[in-house]
Amino acid sequence: MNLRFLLFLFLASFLTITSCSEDDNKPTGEFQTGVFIVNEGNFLHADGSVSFLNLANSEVTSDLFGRVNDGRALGDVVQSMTTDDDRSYIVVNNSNKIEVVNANTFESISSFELSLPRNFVLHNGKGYATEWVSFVDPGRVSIIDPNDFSITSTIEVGYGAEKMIVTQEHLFVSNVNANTVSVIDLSTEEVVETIEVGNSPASFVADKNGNLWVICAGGYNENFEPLNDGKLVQISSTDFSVMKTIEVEAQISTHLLIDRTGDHLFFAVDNKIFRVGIDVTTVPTTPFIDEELVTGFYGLGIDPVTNWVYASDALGFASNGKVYRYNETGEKVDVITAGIGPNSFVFKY
Amino acid sequence: MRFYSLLICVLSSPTLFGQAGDTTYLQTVEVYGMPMSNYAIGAKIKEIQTGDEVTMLPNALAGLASVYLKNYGNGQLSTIGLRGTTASQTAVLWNGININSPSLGLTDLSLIPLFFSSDVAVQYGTSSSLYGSDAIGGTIVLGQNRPDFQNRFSIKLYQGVGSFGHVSTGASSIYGHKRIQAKTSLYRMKLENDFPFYSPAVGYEKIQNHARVYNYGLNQHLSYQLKQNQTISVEGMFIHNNREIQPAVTNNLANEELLDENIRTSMTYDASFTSMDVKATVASLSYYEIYSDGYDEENEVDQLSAIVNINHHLTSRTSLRYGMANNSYRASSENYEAASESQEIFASFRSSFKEVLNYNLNLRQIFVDGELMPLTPSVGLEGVLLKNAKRKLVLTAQGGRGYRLPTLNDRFWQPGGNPSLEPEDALQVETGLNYVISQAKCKGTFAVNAYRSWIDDMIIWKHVTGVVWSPVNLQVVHVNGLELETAIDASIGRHVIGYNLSYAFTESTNKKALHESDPGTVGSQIPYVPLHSLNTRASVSLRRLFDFQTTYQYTGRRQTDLINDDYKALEAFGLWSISLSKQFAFTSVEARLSFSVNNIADVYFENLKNHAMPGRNYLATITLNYNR
Repeated sequence: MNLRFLLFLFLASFLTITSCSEDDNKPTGEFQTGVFIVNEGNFLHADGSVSFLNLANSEVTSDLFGRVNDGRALGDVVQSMTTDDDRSYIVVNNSNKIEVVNANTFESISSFELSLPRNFVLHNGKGYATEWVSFVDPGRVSIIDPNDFSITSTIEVGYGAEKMIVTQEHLFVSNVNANTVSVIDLSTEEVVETIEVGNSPASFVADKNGNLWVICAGGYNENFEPLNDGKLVQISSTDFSVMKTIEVEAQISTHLLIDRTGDHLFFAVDNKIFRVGIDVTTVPTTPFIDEELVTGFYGLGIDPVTNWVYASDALGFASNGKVYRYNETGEKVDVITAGIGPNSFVFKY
Repeated sequence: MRFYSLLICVLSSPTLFGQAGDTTYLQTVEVYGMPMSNYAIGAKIKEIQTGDEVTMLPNALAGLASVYLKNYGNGQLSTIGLRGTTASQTAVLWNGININSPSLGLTDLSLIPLFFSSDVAVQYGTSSSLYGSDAIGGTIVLGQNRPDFQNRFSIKLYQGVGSFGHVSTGASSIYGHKRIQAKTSLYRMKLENDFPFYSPAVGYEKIQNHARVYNYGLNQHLSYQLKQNQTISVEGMFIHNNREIQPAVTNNLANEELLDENIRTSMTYDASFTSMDVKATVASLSYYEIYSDGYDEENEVDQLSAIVNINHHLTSRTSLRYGMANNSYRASSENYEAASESQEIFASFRSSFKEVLNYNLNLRQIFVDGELMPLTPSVGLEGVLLKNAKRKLVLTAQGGRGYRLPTLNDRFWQPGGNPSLEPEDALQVETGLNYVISQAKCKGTFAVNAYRSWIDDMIIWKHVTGVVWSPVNLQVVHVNGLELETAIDASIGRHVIGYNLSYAFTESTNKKALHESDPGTVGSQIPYVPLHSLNTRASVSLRRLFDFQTTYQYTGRRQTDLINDDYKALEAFGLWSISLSKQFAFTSVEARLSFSVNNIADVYFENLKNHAMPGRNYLATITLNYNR
């Protein structure tokens, strides 16, 4: 096992906010092992929730937070969730907060305020949260002390600070409205580089060679017509250069997945999921998954152990969303009912 | 102070219902100028006297059967669901013109000041044949007293002060002469809305923040009598409403604000001849809105409408009405610029058979941008089954087709607007029984109405690709409803007591899955339609100088999405309120003092999921009327 692969394994743990710890002394709790489904909820209705899928029996428990915490609501637009062995951090965008719960029991621990927070990652005993701040200000990354949830510093990045990926020395932040990636030096906590990528950059993954990928969902012209310029951009994690760009020529998902070996990328175009090797330069014409019943996948996730792909249909937010599960070969396994607007998945083993 | 509960007192106040006990159901309403409801035979119509209090339309409607008000907070955005329909399926008419926003397709009722109207009528049921687009659940008609051209000069002053920073002020004056009559009204209202609430979704007591409301308005009427039988009237209205948008209970650091400004002007010519009435109105309306969330998003729609009605009295029992209308709209927003024009032609026929059967037929055809839309007919009848000095039993029935045109947003929004949308299409049938017992000192009314609606092609925005959504004709909803009403009024010496109760059962069912993969939504109750609701009011008026009212309003459990999960539903609640008022009469000045306590039991409730409404609150008002 070379160093690069170790680095990859480390990075992979931050992909779609997954944790693949091998620790055997995990604390026990009802929600120790399984898949958490983050359900955004309807804007202004504060009905976002987290559902739990028990992998042993495929049973879903809805609204974990409400069930465990006396009917309390998580809040308005549940954006994302990050977990370690002890705690889960649930980012509630329009409630301007991160709710902290016990990772295994989902009991509420605390919450702290941020301005339109989007995502949260943990690294070396520090928490990093992206915030849009407002719809007119540049985004920022706030650094949080997980012991007392105080904000120790903030770093201004670009408009629409969105997803993050962390390497040993750097934090990469996609700025979805600025079409850039900001690189922050973790020791100086300063932006050291701003990389031009494509329109609407969002999720990152790291491949088996330790290189980063960011997905650019595509832009819109002044008449709000789609530019169909989605692309996958490979970035060097060491010199921050753009190594390669795979043009998709469509509006594509903001989610980007990578399989457990770091060989294949997955993303969605409407109701199709494509699987692309990291060494190729074009997207295969045949999709890996083509789901007739869905008009567009909303959330994507990949199980870091089984390589099963999870893809959600928000069903217009008028009802509970559905989660489609596909096995390693792209065959549909089953369809699970989640909450309103399922947008991402957290796999906890 | 909470608008909703303010209304309870408003609704319960005798001035609003005319004199106490006047609340007869199925009473016809004379809309200024043309008595449109002469052609609404068989329809249930509720009239509410307004104009004395500085308050907004939701407060007048809160006590009515089959009305659900989706309030985004106290004094915040408020939309109506009438008889199990959506907010876009109720027409709101001002001077005969539909004032639902052409871009959104609905009216924010919290922007309609009651101080400017003399009455508000709600006509239940599908009646696009009479009122055009949106009249599916029913129609709200804002009315004005017909000028009487008497020598008069009066001034009215109103001041209200209530809990949570409620301050409302109104002034109006009427000047009348044999040829001219003028009315000027002004109001101003402020709400701090810093009420405490305990929401289970939060788990501890919070003080509502970021929910301030400030609004004011000016209304000017001028009527001139050209001849004994001909009048020309102009009206101008300006309304300004600026508010912080009340956030969900869980949300902190909210910063969204909404500014609305509406300008409405109209000119009406009104003439009555021996066998014919003519009424013609032209109106110009402007809807202006700025939504701010750090940056300003500006939307403006201008509307120019003209409507002509000609009514022939063919015989003493038969009349025929016909006319036409033209509407043109121009919208400009960040997402699109668009224009649209529509023409309507309509005709109504009314007749009766002896004294026992009245019936009418209505027909309307609309063209939108040159395209023929569905023809909408309706038929109504009233049969007197029993009538003597003390009792009257009337059977009513009506049936009609309704439609709702796609809004400008539906058609032109960039991206996703769908120019080829069809109108929403509805059919409703209804029957009712109305029984009145009149004694010398006592009157009782009992009414039951049952209806069924089939609503098809409802417009739903569906996800297309990326961030693009597009509207399609998709949803199908069926509504089965039952309304029971009873009112008893009695006088004991110079005292009057009154009691009324209304109950509504509204089963509004989704009949088609919005997505093929989601069949579980078929058969579910439509969100925010309570299956059961009940309103009751008791009043005592001592020598007509001292009034006591108490009301109780029960709203049943409401679903919040199409899947009807139990844990997501909003629980039922009941609101109990009381009000006391005393009138003083001097030579030329009348004064009225009132004090009300709303939501006495301090119940926490929500009209929209996770949007807090105030608990117990108080309102004191004084009204001075000077008449020369």
